[in-house]
Amino acid sequence: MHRAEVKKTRSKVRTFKVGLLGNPNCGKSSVFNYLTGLRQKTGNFPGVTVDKKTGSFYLSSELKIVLTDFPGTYSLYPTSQEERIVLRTFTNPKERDFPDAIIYIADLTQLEKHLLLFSQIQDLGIPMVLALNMADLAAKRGIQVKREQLEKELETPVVLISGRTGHHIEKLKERLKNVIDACFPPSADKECFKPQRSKLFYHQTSQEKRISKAIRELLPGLQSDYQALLIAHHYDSLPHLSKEQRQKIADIVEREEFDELRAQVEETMTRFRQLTPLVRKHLAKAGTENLLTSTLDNILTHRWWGPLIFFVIMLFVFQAIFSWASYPMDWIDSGFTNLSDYLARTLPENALTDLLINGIVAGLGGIIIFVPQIAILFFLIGILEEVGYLARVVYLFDGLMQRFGLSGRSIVALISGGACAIPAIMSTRTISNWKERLITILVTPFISCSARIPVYTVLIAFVVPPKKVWWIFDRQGLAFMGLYLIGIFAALGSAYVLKHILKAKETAMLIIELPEYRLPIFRNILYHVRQKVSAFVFNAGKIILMISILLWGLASYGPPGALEQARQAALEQAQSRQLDEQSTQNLIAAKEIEASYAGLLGKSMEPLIKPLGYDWKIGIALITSFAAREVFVSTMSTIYSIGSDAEPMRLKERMAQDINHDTGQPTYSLATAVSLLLFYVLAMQCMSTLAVVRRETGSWKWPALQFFFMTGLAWLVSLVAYQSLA
Amino acid sequence: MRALTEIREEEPAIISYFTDPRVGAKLLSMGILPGYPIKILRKTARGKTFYVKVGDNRFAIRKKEAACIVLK
Repeated sequence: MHRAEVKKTRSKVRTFKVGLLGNPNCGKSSVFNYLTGLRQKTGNFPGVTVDKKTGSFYLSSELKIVLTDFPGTYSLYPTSQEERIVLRTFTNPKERDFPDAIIYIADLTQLEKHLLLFSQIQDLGIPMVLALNMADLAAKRGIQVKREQLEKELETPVVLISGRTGHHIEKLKERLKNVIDACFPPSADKECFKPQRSKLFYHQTSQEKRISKAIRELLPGLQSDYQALLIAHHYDSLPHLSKEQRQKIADIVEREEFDELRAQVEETMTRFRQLTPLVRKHLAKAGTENLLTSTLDNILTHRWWGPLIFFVIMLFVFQAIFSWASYPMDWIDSGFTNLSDYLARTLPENALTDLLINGIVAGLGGIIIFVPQIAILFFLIGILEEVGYLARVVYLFDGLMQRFGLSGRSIVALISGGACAIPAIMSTRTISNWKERLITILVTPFISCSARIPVYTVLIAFVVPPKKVWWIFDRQGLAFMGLYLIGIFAALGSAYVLKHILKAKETAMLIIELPEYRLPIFRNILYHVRQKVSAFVFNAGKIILMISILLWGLASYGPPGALEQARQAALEQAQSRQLDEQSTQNLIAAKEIEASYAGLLGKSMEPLIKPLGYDWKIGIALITSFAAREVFVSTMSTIYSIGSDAEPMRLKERMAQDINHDTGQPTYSLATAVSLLLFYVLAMQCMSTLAVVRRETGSWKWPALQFFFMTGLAWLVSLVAYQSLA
Repeated sequence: MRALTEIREEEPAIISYFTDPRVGAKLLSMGILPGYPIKILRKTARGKTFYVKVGDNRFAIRKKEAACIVLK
């Protein structure tokens, strides 16, 4: 009875799709966070890998809004893949993401520029609410806006908001509700399409009118002439058109001898010719310049100081990852150790308990331990992005990057690659030139990602004694920085090679906005960090946990009778050597794992890795690292904890104690550790990255090239390092 | 007729037109329009990238694109 009631009320709820749109740097994401709170999820736009954030909220108990955050866009004439998404969606009324209404965010301090896309959307006839963001900042700077007059002239509800303080967000919702109620009255069965504004910003030329008419006859579902005109401009890159339709449109355009670029320039100029006086009329500027930005940029973008300051900032970022993260990591580490101890004491000694402790708990620990590092990195990069500094970095390094066939924008991908190559490679979508983008994609995995950090941590702790050098810098931190530098050199070096091999499809350009410096909105950064961390825990984490359990199986079982034989052999050997109880147990454990499936697998690849100084245990870790590099540590932990009857010890200590039973020498000498470090810096060992490269480049050719090039280089460098040090 | 590449830093100028239609279209969509005041604030060490101010807005553009901007 009660249930039925609930269902009845639910069925009365009407759901509308609303798009959040605006230029880059308009403060869209803070508004998105305010409107949807934690009811957000990330997905993809159909057919492409551009992130799509959606969230929902209620305007009343009967009116639900599903809000889609579209990528920041300057106009419906796109120059990057992200901008193309907006065009694709808005030229196809049948698309799933096509919104019923739009919340358009414009920066009040740069209104004229931000209204270009607004005017284009209005000519499409989609109902809108115009939210003028940064109202607080504008007021401080003496900018006054005549809201009501603007509203009247644009025939669109206008709200002054602040994404920083949340000011008037409720009012924005109220106006959105009014728009939806007016355009889609609940009584009407069928939705009726009626443009919000009575006149157009752009009146098409007679040639454009003929073209639009012909296209609307060809594609009867279109809602406006402007939609048809956009299709005439972009039919080549619109996936929703069939080959046949494209051909027909091409014929129409050719018959009319339509000069697309000129028409685009003329249209844009026409729009600004109306927007400029409109903004001047309704916006009073006191004319105060932003002194903060000018002053800061005098130093931060200075030709010499700028790059120097950037490197100091990066040094602090790495130092933060390495030293701040060590505290929570120690807590997590000891927490999991205590949990294993507790489980070992309370549960019965059998295979299931063993699986739980050495497979599942160890695997979970191996995932959770990265959360501090990933969170700190995304937090710090998030701050740099939010304050507007990253755009300056693009400016500073574009010239240098170009020498290596990259774009200034590549530096953002390369820096993000310090967290994880996967989001970094996805971030290259903002690079409009294909060659620059491809090179960035191919070399980014050379940058040491956070998954390498645990490997570095264990191995550096092993070869470099902790010792303070100066102030907060210690030797381990510097060694860490050195590994990062090797990765950076490898990335730039291979980019340089690729620049001369690959052919360019079109000439590259770089025109980017340098936004004003602003205080970061920590709420936005925290949402961002939360999204990245959960993506890691739930996506990468799943693979890591599975590998961990698989490994436990491989290390606990072997061919029938093999483990028993190994045990007997170890016992005999121990007796003849007259070993004590503890050493006997260790020897048995070592021989047993050697006879297991894992041992067999590692041994089968020993010929290939022996010249680099690795034994079969490292061989197993190399194989499992292909799932994700950080698995190296959990693999080693699993292998060693299985071989131990004593209390679980930290991996570093176990490795230090590990003796090669053939030579009697420690397995991990300086030469082996250095060789292994270099291998992890350079080798392509991440199947998730390869999968993303395949998706982003549309072919297996590039990930294959990347795999052989990187791993081959790693093998050679490690070989040279080991042979010269050993 | 001078291109943006031919003026000194801090020298005020007015945009007249763009020589390359592709670059021009991109500049327009970002609100860089003929008739607007433009000024080079600074250049990078090797002079390959310009920090320019158009009206109240700041942009970074490459020397190659700057050469397409003709001044009054």
